[in-house]
Amino acid sequence: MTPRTSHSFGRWLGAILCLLAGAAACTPEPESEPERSAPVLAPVALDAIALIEARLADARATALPSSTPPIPPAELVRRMEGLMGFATGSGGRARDAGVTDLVDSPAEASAWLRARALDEDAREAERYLCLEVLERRGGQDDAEALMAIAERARPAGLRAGAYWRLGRMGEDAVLARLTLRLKYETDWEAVLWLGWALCQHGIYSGLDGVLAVANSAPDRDLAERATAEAQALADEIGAGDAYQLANGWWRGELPAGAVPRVRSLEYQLELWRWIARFDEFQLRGVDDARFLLARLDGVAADVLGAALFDASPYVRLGAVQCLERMGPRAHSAGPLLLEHLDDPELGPWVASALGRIQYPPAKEALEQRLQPGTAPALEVAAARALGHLGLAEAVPALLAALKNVDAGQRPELHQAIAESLVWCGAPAFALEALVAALTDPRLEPSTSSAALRHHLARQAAASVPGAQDVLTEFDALNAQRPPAAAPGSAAPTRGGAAPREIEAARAALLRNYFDSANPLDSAPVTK
Amino acid sequence: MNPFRIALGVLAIGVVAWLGFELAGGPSRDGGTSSTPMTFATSADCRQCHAEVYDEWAMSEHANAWTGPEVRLLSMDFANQDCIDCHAPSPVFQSGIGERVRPRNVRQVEGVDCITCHLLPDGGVAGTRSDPRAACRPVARAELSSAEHCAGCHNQHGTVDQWRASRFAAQGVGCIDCHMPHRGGDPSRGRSHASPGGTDIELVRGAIALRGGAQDGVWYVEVENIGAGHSFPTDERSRAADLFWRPQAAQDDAPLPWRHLARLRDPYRTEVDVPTTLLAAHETRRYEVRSGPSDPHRHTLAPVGDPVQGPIEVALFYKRSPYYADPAAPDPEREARLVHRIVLAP
Repeated sequence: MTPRTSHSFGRWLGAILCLLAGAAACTPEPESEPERSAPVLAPVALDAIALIEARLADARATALPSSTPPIPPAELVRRMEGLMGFATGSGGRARDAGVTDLVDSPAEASAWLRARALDEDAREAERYLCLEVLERRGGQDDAEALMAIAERARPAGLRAGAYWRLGRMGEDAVLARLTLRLKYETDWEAVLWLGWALCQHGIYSGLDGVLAVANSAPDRDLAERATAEAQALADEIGAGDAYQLANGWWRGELPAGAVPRVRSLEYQLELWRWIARFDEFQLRGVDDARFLLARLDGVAADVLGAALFDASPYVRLGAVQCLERMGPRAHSAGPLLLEHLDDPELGPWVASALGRIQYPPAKEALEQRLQPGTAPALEVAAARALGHLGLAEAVPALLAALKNVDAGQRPELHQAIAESLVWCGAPAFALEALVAALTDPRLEPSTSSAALRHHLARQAAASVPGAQDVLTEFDALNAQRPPAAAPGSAAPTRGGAAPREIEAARAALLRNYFDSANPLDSAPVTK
Repeated sequence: MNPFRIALGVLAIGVVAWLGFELAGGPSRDGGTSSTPMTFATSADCRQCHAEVYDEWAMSEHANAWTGPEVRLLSMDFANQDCIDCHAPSPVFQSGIGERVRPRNVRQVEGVDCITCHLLPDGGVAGTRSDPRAACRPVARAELSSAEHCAGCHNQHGTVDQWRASRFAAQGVGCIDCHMPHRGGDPSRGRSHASPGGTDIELVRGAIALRGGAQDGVWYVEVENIGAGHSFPTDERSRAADLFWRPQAAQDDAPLPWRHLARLRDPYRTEVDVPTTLLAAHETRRYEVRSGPSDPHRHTLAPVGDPVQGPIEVALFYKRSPYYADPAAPDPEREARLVHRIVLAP
């Protein structure tokens, strides 16, 4: 093994071992761009899965045998039926005694309770009692059973109950699947308790669900309940309000009251199994993996950082995309991402991720990728990433790049640099180009539109005459667009103004504004 | 050997070689003066020589993959980044034939463009024949016309697998035979790059048959997948086909509202209680026309209610967004496209 090999190999292996030891964010953060060499790749995800499974197998082998002797299946069924009938047919202490016996049933009872809860022909009281019993049993199999109920049960009230009870349990092995339910759950009340449950486990992505119920649930009582629960979640950890908590989570800035969780091996195994799914052909599993991994905690960021060294280009790409979507919460992955900046295929996505995770040490490396000779896709991504970093110190490099680029030959690069100049606080050199980009069929207009809106908002905040009115009109143009048809909704998708027409209207609005008002720091400058 | 014969032989070989070269390569589009092949930064570069192909593509759904209003809405202007993989893919030859495509971060507005299908990992261009004198120096690659070439995107919803299970696959009728037909039916004119599909209602009409009759006093309707080499509809789950019926109005009366009979569609993953009702290649499905209610969003499998008496109209509609504004009173003539309409009269 060459020194280069051992360096890269050691990085991902070290990251895995570090994670297994329960430490968070083991990767050191360099002051500047490290000396890079091509990373050496290995079947990281499959190796990690095998490693963790072996450890779990060892742990099971050395565990004390259950104090409850196994019983034959027929006997188990007979006993469970009897106890269930007794508990649901009784009240007071008799019920408590029946429930206690159900809770104390042998390990095999979890599967029976799960099946009964999912049995649509079973009595409602029995189905809900199964949830209670599973929670009180409290084991991993019981959490798995509750998770299966949360995924499949009808009516939705059962799913809501399962979510709520999972939030009260200490098991974290099901958190990845629980997070995925944010994508698929369709019942308002169930979404509330799903989001709440995730927050109980320190996954504050769930707060988005709670706040969605608070803001949009048609049942106002439920919306008010969600508002109260969201505030209670914020109060628990000393956040000012639920919105501050939600924003802080995505910025990677939780209040001191939010204690970092030490995750189990089972939790990490789940993460690696989802990461391994990036390699599947069907995008369905890939999309699910991208969705949930980007919404988990810092442990996921560390695991994804290790996955950057996987031999599969799909796993590496999925890992980069998730880190990018995690945003600043994945800040710890910055040094590992930098190692892949010159990967011919992955590099552009790495550059984008470095910007989105807000990793300032990447500034110098990104600026270097604006130099001639860089692959075009990486050049564009590096320019955009500097904008996402938003550092005023990057303006000289961006201006130099703007000077060198031929807007006719490289319109995307020209647009990306111009946008980043706005985000880095130097709009005067960019506005004309961005307004032109709104109607240039060669370019995606929405990114330029976002940069221009940012500029208008800054001007409005600085009370520049006319800026607020233009901003209001700029936003109002979106109202011409019909809402997207969500699954389950009856909203039509045809009609309304097409995005290009909206952006053209915005371009006309802004040209008029810049020409007539010529407000402070917005004077268009022609190169 | 006779020197005349040798000279004649050399001349003949020369002529054959020249003819072979001309026939294989065709005329050089840059006059054969370039010493280095073109490099491609955008699909617009291809237009210089391939104007007809480019213009066909520019009007296609492939060209609209990033800019079409429907995908912009459904993807929230691609804020849903999961859509990028197939709507702005990296070159297929780079990802690997038959492999899942990977997204690109540049030229996204070009959607599924020339470069997506034709660019080789070494910067060369894949074509159906090699032409060392053309500006782009195409290299013949048989994969270009294979179903596997389309699979990276179009098998995400099982379309290529549906085709593999059909008789068309065994007969050697592939994707391009329907979706990239020879221009004007003339192989010498090359294949159309307009890539007609569900947006081409004539193509849909040719693929699906609708007929009906009466049995034991009950109207029935049969819909048959006669020509699609895959299920109908296929690909995106947003696509739906609906059978509607209504009593035939008297000559001077206004037509009555359409009543939903059945739906063909693969539901979204969130629609957990909705069955898949796609019509497989070569499949015929029969529905009795009954008076009971039918909800298009629930994908009716077996119509309910009493048999319908008297003459009726039956129509098959196709739509690319799955939901009707009012599922209790859908208006297919406004919200969908008519594929077939028949009248059943005693």
